[in-house]
Amino acid sequence: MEVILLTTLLVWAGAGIRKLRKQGLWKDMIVYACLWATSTTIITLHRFNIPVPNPLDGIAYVYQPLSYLWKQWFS
Amino acid sequence: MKQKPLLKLATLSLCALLLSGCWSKRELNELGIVTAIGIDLQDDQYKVTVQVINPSEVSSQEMTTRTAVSTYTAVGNSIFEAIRRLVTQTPRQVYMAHVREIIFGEEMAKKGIGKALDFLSRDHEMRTDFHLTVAEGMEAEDLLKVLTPLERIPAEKAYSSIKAGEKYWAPVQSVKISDVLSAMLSEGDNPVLTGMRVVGDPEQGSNLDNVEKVNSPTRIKISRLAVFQKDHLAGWLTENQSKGYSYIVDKVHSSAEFVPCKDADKGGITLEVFDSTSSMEAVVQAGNPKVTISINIEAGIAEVECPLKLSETAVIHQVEKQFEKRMNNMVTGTVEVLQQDLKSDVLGFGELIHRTDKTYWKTVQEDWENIFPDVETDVKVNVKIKRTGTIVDSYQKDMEG
Amino acid sequence: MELNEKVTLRQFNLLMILFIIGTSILLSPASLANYAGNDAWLSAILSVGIGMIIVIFFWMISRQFPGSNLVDVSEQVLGKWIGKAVSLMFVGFSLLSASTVLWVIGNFLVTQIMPATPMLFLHFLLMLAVVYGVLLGIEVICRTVEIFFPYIVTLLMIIFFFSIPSVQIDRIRPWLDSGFKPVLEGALFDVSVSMLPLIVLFMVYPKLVTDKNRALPKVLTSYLIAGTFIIAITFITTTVLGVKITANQAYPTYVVAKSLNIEGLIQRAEVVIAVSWILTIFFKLSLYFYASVTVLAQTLNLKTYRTITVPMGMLTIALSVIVYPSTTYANEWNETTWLWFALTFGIAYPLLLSLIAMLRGVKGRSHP
Repeated sequence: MEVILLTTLLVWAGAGIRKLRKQGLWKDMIVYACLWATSTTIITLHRFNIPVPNPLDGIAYVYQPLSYLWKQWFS
Repeated sequence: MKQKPLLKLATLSLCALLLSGCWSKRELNELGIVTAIGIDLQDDQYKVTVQVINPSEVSSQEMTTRTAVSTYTAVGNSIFEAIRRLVTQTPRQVYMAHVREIIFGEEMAKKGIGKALDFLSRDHEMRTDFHLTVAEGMEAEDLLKVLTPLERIPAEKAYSSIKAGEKYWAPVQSVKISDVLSAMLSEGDNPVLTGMRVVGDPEQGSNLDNVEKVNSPTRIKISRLAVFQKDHLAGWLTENQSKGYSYIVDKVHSSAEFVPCKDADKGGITLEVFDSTSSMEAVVQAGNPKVTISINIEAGIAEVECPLKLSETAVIHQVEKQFEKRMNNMVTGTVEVLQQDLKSDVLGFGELIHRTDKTYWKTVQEDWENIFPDVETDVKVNVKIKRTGTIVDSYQKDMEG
Repeated sequence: MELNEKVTLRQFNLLMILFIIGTSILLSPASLANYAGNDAWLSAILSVGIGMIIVIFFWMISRQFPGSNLVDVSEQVLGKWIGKAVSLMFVGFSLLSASTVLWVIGNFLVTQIMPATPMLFLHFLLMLAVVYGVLLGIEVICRTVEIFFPYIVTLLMIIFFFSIPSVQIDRIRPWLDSGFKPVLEGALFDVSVSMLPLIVLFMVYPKLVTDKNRALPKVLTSYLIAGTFIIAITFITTTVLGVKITANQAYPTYVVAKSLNIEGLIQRAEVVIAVSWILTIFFKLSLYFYASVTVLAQTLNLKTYRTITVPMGMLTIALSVIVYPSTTYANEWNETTWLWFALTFGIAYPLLLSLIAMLRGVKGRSHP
């Protein structure tokens, strides 16, 4: 199952990149490849139960002092 | 890019995904449709009994010698565990979406039903339109085994009995899980549950010959109301008290009320109540709460045994007065029992006071259980007789006079 | 980046209504009842009131920079590089919002309707439709809104109408039981969920909406329609189910629909709610996704946003799988962090842009 999923993703990505290269849209191609790589990595890591850093944790960390204040005020 | 093989392939595979049907499909012939769940306690564990429909019996035209339902019982540390353990006995996976009744055994109800309610409201397969009932003086398991005539599925029978009773007979009320939960969670309110009991020998009731007689020896009866103190069974109301309760909380659609004649030997008068509205008002004076219950009843005369000249307004007024007095006694009696004996605020006095005087409520909130028995109550009943039926005077009057 | 699509104000308004009621219709009653108790409906009214100020504020910003969308404004006001950096952060905001919304709908389906279906698969199917819609363009999405809007409203009205017999006003009395503070807290939370994300409409309104004559009253009217929906559903769930039960439900509206029973004629109507909710959330998701894709494409000066739509969709699915490890985490995060996250991008960001622009004397292009 994992193998099929991964192959489909890669084939799909390859087709997209080839199309963009033919059209000569280099910048689009780089963005395309980056986004695709990120998402494939996340999905693969998740499938194999390897913990992926959660962006929401980071955001929660940034806003920690503010949410603390909020709790103080409404309690 | 005239030919797009990849796109075609993707479309085709998508079709395959959709055509194969639902992911978690469960065909009808793989399901054991549960119509009632009985929950008992057995040595600190839950004993769950389910009543499963026997589809071939229910749907076939010919009568067979097999029963329309089967019951299975399993024991587990939690209700969910017990239900899953049922798979070891049932041929099919049980399906909960058509549950009509949840029945708690009396012992279980005394120990508390709160923990069981968690599963009933958390599980996604459970709906919210089933009735919650207590098996009076017996285990739910025994009650679920009784076969019923007329309606071949006993749970369906109980469901429609409760539905009909709620409409035509004041002591019966249907109780849904949301009613119980909101009463249980509120500080100034307590739930009641419908009681069910078996008339006759439960052992015999599970035999098919129970339904082969005109007068089934063993029957399921919707009885009185079970009063809860939070999630523990505090006690039972009698039929009259249940009636009073229904009148107070404004749940009466239609009912029958009887009052004896002045000369009690001669019989009595029966009214058909066709509308009853009640309202409760609370006032807090000098730290003492007082609740006024006013009930307005519209009724027609259904049956007369006394020699009365009902064509006269004065006589009708007199009958009204008689009924007002009787109803007043009944309702006061209910309130008294709830306050003195059962000590459970199922009438929602607490919530009422909370609504009228929230500052006072804050001071008694914690101690409400102890204050409730001392709340002063005032009952006002107003009976209006609108019709005398298809005849006017009583035949008795002419025979005697 | 070329954006030569055209959206009428009517379509824009309908899109906004669906965007506001998108997730709120199923989730708001629970959180409002949780914060404000008996006064959940008051809290909802207050949140609609606050939201109205926010809408007027957004309108003022759009007047200050006519014909420039969010990316244009950022670059004009903050300079090329800082502007780009801020825009990229905005991409993060809308992308994360999109993936959380995707998670919410997947979680709903898995909890209530299809417990055995893997969430990833549901996300994939839904995202496929969204990506396809965005590839076709906002114009097509808006026309779809026009088609589906009557259905959604009718379905919701059915639920509202048939719930009325079971409404018990006593369940939400006494009013203002625990003072005004919880009401305010609930209202602020609801604003952060329903109204602050309206900022993403800045990727649609300035450049694409064609007829902006006397736009404010029309926009406000449709905003109030959406607000009425939120107030009504909060009122109905709390009066039908009771406050404590509403607060403890994951999807109170669904439960209300579940317990509907009109004389045995109309019952088991919960899938009606599910369908209308999937539709509204589809549009909410499309809009978040559209915003994140267009902002990214415009920031990077791509010729068209369409080339990167598919991998962005993939990224949204990937993120949706990891953003919320559990429902408890989701609730906690929404309660503590989301408000500030949404405030930053929904209020602080446009306010700062506006102030700095006034100080530096920057004005938007007069001709779009």
